[in-house]
Order: sequence, then structure tokens, then C-alpha cells
Amino acid sequence: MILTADKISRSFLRGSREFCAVKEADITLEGGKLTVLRGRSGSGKTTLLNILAGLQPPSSGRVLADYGVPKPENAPEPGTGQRTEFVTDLYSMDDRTLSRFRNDHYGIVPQGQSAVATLTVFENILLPGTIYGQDNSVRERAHELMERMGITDLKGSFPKELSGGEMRRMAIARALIRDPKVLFADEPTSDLDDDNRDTLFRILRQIADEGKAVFVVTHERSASEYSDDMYLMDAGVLRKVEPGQEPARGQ
Amino acid sequence: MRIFRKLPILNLCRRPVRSAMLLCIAALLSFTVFGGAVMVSGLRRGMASLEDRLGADILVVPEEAARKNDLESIVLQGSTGYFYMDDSKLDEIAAVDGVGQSTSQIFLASLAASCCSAKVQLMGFDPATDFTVLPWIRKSYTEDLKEMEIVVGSDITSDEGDTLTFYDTDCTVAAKLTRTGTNYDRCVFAGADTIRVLTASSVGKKLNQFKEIDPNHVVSCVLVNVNEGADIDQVASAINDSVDGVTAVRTTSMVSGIAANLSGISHLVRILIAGVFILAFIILMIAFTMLINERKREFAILRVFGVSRRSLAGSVWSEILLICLTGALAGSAAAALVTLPFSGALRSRLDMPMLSPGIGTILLYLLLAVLICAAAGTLSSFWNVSRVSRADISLALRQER
Repeated sequence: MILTADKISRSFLRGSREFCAVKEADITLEGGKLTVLRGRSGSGKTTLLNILAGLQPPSSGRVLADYGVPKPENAPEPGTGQRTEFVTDLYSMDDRTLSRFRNDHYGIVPQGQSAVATLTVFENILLPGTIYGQDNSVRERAHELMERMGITDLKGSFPKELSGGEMRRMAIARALIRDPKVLFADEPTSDLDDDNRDTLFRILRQIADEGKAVFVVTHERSASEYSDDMYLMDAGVLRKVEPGQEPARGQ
Repeated sequence: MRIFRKLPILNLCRRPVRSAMLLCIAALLSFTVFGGAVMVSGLRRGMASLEDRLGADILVVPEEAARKNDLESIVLQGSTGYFYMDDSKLDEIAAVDGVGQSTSQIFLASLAASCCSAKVQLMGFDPATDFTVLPWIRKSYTEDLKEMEIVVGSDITSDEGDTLTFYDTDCTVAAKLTRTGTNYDRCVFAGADTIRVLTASSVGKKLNQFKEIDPNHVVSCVLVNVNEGADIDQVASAINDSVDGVTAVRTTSMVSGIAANLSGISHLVRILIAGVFILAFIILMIAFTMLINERKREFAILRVFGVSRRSLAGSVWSEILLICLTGALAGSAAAALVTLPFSGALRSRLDMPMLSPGIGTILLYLLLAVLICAAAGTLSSFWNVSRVSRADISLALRQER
């Protein structure tokens, strides 16, 4: 799947003043690539991720999902609740179709603590796989993912018993449960020590190498070591930078 | 079962303290609705049963027994009073203008002593003239009572064919009556011949002193039905004027008094139910608002995973309805445990006839309590559920990371 943002902007009202969080951003996420977006706090990184992830509609512009399949004749129109196996504008879908689209094609690791407190680690990982289907089909995959993330021993633990690193690995396992085409991770390494940070980036790199499009929003400068594409965001303006051309710290 | 479907149950089970507090509020509401409805229904049925039993327009008692409280308990509760007059009064009363049917009754007290099987109230009636007790007995026993045969109220722990002894005289239980919710349930009924034998036996044991009245000609009260078209008050007044040593009272005036009391109690119960509903509604609204605000981020996470607005609202409704329905059943069960087995105690406390409603009515009230609880839960959380399902996911995700 190729996900393309076409001149997307997002404005908010702050009091009586209009504030533009994202200004006419263009970005493409492709399978097999790890794309990193860096920028200062409040620069609009999370807003852009949310727009790409189908969580927040842009004020203008489109987000197109290209399945790489030609549009068939008599194909259902977006928003009809039926699968559309061609290029689709995410925000032309109704809530039900877009929700299903997120569940089918996206894996999302939100910023911070994102576990359902009353579910165990195993149940949390299973959860996205059970919204539209049965547990049985994803149980085996949940076990595989827990093993891959090194959290098998935590199967029956509750989120409050986990460390920050364990929580993030659980969140990644949960995001992968539906074998998504695109993985979004918002500050997946915040508050983590160096070892945990490197482990997480290695995992994200592996996921991209397996053919998924991975989009990571982070403050970490070291993320560039793992990335294929690197973007910087400053006051809502998105800019692609070549590896090695990143501005120095403090610029 | 799918984890997502199970989420409401898991949330309740794994947050026991929070769930228990919400459940208690729902239980309190259903306790009040179910308990109140059962109590009012019990009182209404008791009243209807009493009216069925009453069957007479005028009650005539000796002057000495005419204190209002005594009369009310005789008429309204089926209590027997131990006062006596000569049976010649029956003929004098029957001769008064406007009197249609008239019949006499005798009340005797048995003892909790070796001579008697139990301490009960004995009521003698004349099958030849009776129009109050016999129609009721006929519902349970269609044959004529033979000598030394008795019929017992529903609270008497004897069955058909058993022998009960009063003043060392054996009587056979011919039938057991249906429940009335009045003191009649604790009475033993006997025909004229049998009651004369028992009266004589009690006199022999120096019990039930009748003063100067011949025990063979003693009666406790006379019940009168007026002729069609006759004014009951005028007939009662005529009896008081023309028969010495008696007091005649209109029974329906007392019934209307108790009906007014019953109406007052029903009104109070309705106000109580409305008050508790409003209180529970406000408490539930505050509780659900806090609960939903506290979990706003959790709901946003579910939306991130691909839960649609409608499914999210459905999941939250399920949790709220589970709380309300479980609370409603628990509250109704507690109310049933209090009101049904202790209806006798309630009857004594309220000093009114009370007859527990049938199983069909109880189930109907249970359904009503459950529906009212579900309505309180749904209405109190409607705005919050609607708000959370339509919330901006990105904004909700920013909260308390």
C-alpha cells in the first residue's frame, strides 16, 4: 500500500486566533520503508500522524490510500461500507468504513500509555483482532508477536505491572496483530532508556524490512540511523531531508 | 467470546469496587420501586379482600364494645372482640324497618394451655342466616359443616382431617380457607351447633364469662344488610333508637376511612419512588460522567484500533445497562426478601389488611423495577455516551498520557 498526503493542512482555533498546525504537507509512505518525522514539541508532528492515520480530518487536502490494484469497473463508491480495493481518499469514507479501514490496514502505536487497564497483556494484544472477527484467528499470531517482542512471560500481567519499555513493546505487538500494511508510531521511545530505545528502533526497522510502511514520529536524533526517509517539521511546515543533512542540535 | 464483546463484563469484574458502588445505586432504586409497588399492591389486595369478607352494611355490637378502635379492628382487621349480648337482640334488630338480612356471630378465645391445641380466635356463625362468612367458606368447602366440624384460617397450622381441641373438646378440621391478609387468617370458624358446645365447655372451665347472659343465648355481634333502596345511615340510626344496649355502625364508613389511609400511603410511596428516582438519576449521572471522563483516553484508544462510533457507544451502553440490570435484580431480590416474608409484620405495623400479590404481579413489578433502573441508567448517561462516541480522537489521545 502507498499512502499519500496531498497538500494537507490543519488549522485550529486558539481562542479567537486561527493556528495552523500543518501547512500544505505532502508526504508518501511506502511499503518496506521506515519514514521518520522529527521536530520540536508543538511543531505539528502528531497532528500530521493523526491525519495520515485517519484519526483527524485535515482542514484541506486529501489522504489517498493506493492499494496498488487498478480500480475495477462498477467498483463501490467510498463511504458505502464496502471494501474499495483501489485508490481511496480516507476522509471520503463514513465513520464506520474508515474505522474498519483503520482496523484492516493500519497498526497504530499512540503516544504514551495506551493499554486498556482492565485487560491483560495478552487480551490487549488480541483486542484489535477481535473487533470485527473471532479470537481464534489471531490467538496464534498474538503468541508469536509476544515471543518476538520478548513479553511472553507477561501474558497474564496487567498494564500497571509493566515497565515503560514492556508497555511500548506490547503496544507494537498489538499494532501488528492484524498484520497491517502501515504501522504508525507516535513517540514510541519517549521516556525509555538507551537500550530499550535501540531495541524498539531495531524492531521497527525489522517490520519495515518485512514490507510494511512504517511511519515514526520522534524526538530521537538516533532514529535517522534506522530510517529510509527522513522528514523534519517546523511550525507546521514539513520538509524532507536527506540522511546526513539534518540540522545540527540547536538549529 | 470475542474480547471486544466481553469488554463491558471484564471492566465490571476487574473494577469490583467501582462496579459495586454503581450497582448499589441501581439496587437502591429498584429496591424502592419493587418494594413500594409490592407493598401498595399488598395493601390494595388486602383492602379488596377485606371488602369481600365484609359483606354487611351495618355492624351491631353491645354498647360496652362500641369504642371506635374496637369497632375498626373488628370490621377492618377481622379481629374478634370478647363482648356479648343476648341473642334476643337479633330478633329486635331484624324487626327494625329497612333491615333486610341479619345474622349473628359469637367470638370466643381459646388458650395456650393444655385444654386447647392453640391460642386462636374462635368465631361462631349461623349457617342458616349467614351472608358474610359462608360465601367465603364456600370457596374452599362446599358441603354443610357438621357438628364439631370447623374451618380454619390460612395461618392456622392444621390441615383438613386434623383434630383441634378447644376447652378439652375435639373438633375436626373440615377445610382451610384462602388467605385474606386480615386477622381472619388466624381465626377458627364453627357453625352454630358447634360453637354452642364450645361455649358450654368454656363456661365449664370458667372461661369466657358472660356475666348475667345465658351462655346458650349469647352472641357477640349482629351483621345487617339493609333492604334495597333503604338508607343505611337511617337504618343504623333506627337500630340505635329502637334496640336498647347496642350500638349500630355503618361499616362502609370505616372502609372508606381505611381506603383514604391506603390512598395516602400509596401517594407517599409514589412520592418516595419519584424522589429516589431523581436522586438515583442525579447520582448515576455524576458517577457516569466521572467514569466516562476518567476513561476518555481508553475510549479514544478503542477508536484508534478501529472501533466505530456506534460500536463504542454500544460497548459503553452495555456496561451501563449491565450495572443497572444487575443492580435492579439485586435490589428487587432484597426488596422481595423484606416485603414478601414479612408482610405479616408490615400488616401489624401499618395496622391495615395486607395480602401479598400473586407471582404474575410480582414478576410484572420486577420487570417494572428493571425497566425503571435501565431507564435511569440510560437517561443519566445518554449525553455522556453520545459525547464520548463523537469525541475528537486526537484531542482525547492528548489527555493524560
